[in-house]
Amino acid sequence: MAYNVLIVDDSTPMRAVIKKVVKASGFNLGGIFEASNGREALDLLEREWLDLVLTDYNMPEMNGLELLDEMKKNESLMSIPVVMITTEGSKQRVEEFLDKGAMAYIKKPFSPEEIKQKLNRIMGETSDEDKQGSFDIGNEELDF
Amino acid sequence: MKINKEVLTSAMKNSISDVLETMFFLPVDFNDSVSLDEFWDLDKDKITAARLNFDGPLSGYSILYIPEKLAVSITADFMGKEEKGISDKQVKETVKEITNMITGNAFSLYDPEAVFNLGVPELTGLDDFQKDLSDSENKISIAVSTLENYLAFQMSFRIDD
Repeated sequence: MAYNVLIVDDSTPMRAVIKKVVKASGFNLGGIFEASNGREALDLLEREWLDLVLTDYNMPEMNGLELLDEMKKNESLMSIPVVMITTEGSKQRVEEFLDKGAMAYIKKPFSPEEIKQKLNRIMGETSDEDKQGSFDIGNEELDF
Repeated sequence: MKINKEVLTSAMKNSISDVLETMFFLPVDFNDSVSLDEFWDLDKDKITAARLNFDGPLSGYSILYIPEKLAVSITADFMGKEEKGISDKQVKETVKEITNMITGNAFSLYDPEAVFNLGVPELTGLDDFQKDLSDSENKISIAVSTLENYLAFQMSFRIDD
């Protein structure tokens, strides 16, 4: 089963790095899509079949949390797992991400090897699920 | 919140090391013995600077000052490309991203319980560069040495009466 991944970050270099790490994860990927803010991401989510969203929190126009809120309000998008990638590491903020439905969060700075291992774990644990399933592995905190 | 300058300075240094060494493979050292305005040769190096506003228990802004040459080299390493293949836009976005990461990570290290709201980083001019770098009550400035270059990171705080 090939998975389509959406990377949302306003920084082109950061998107390029995350894309490279996702590609190197060894996971069976269909396509990797990119958006530079939450608004663009929502447009893509309406048009493409996507299985995982990796989003930055701090972005212009629509931030990662607002994107997550919009996805949870939309029946066709609410079950797509969202991983928040953020510099914001306060306990309260992380709880907010998870309470609002993020599957996990990854704190910047991250090393390529670390994010690769974590993604492999997330994708590996979900690879036995139906592609249209929930990716239900609970709210896992990826703090490194 | 009253600023604990000693703790915040340490958090800023740890954050700079975390970000530059972990994500940009750039070993750093800190130059506490020189003032920042002695640190720069503005005739020699063109500087790029990015600014990020923040509020929360502390309000103000942070600025990262980095020689353009180093910014290009860091961006190329980060993206795994040759320097000649790097665009000006990518360099500017990388400088803004570093500013964002250092600031957010510094606050997490300073007080993990506190929520700081970070703005969106923007490039800033250098009209008042020397004045900006001079020490004052409401600023913390850190000079950073890399193997062949240097940069600086500063936080300025708004003190309400």
